[in-house]
Amino acid sequence: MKCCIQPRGKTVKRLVALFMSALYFFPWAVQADESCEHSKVKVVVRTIQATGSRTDLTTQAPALEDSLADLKPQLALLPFSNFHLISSKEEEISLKQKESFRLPNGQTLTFRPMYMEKERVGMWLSWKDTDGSDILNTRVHFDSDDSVLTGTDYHDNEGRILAIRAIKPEVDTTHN
Amino acid sequence: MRESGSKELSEQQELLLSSYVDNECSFLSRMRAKRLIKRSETAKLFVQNLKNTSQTYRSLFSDSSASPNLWDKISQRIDAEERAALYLGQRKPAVVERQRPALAHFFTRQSVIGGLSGAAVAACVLLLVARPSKPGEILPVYTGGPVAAHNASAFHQASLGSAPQANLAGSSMEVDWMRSNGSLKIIQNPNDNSAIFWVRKRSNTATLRNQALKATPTIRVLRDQVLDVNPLGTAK
Repeated sequence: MKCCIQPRGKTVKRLVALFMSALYFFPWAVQADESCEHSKVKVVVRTIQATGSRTDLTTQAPALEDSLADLKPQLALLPFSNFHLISSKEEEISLKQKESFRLPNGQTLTFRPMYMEKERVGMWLSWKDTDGSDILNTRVHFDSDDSVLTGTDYHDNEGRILAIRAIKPEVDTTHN
Repeated sequence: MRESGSKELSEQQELLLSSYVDNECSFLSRMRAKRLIKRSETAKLFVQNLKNTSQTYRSLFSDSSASPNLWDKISQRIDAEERAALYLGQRKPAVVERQRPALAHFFTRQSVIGGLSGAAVAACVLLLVARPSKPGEILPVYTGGPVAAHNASAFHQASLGSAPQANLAGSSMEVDWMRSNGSLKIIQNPNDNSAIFWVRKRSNTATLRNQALKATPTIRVLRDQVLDVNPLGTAK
């Protein structure tokens, strides 16, 4: 009798453990499925060359190309007078996948979109110089309507700016 | 070998007396020990101390071994560990667990959905673009390269000053951490819920990288100053 009870007890224990595990992982699994509603993200990277200088940021408006009009409020904060779009790349990337872009000047931009939920994007970014050093390495969360702008000085009186957007692949990006 | 009259025992005499107390000496040694104890007060005291010490240890040992609570606790602990292993898996060193890709993937997913690690992540999340400001305001400026990445709390303090106003404008960008080999500036846009991360690269990367590792990150908050109007190249 005793030898029959013990295995049954073990079985019950295992069933309880299975049940507890299911309870623990169930909400998480549901959330994970929700977060994977959009498994891909379209990342748009614009490389901008900034030249010239402005002495008065409040009165003097910078010269922008039409393709950069949406970035005017941000670019106006920088002490450059001219902004020129060098390149624009867009690519659909799976969530949690790492992707690297090689920029026109040899620098590399690596990013890994972590999630996209309700117009909110979380992304790891790594902008490396030609010698491999980190220009910027960060993890940011932002609205998909916004562009993350980051820049650095590049030669004398020149700046190099990256405008990064992450949007749903279904969304039309005609302004890019 | 010193006999009676000496106040101190030699090493050989102490060994002899120890063997005698432990009942591990031969017949001749026993006779010598008895004679030494009889003639020397020091030897008598030494033997007495040995017996007392031995008695103390024996009593302690017998008390601990006879304690039922100890074994009960051990049994309970074993049962608890078995239950924990059943529900949570076997205990393993933390280093080994980190090397398991499945577990690393689990924690990655947890951080993404704001699960168990959400609290830890939220503790260092920074609200950057969250308040009205003056044009071209540079919020926090900190240098220090790789070190700066681990100084998120200090960076957070710099932005906490604007916390009461953060709800008015609403936040759009959050930064968990940020690292750069150059001087990093966060330039806030007053009209738009966004920001620019501007990195001023260092002239000698190799030298300054070493300095950055040793230096303590510094934070400056320039709330009332507009952006430096000097060309970036000349400002180096």
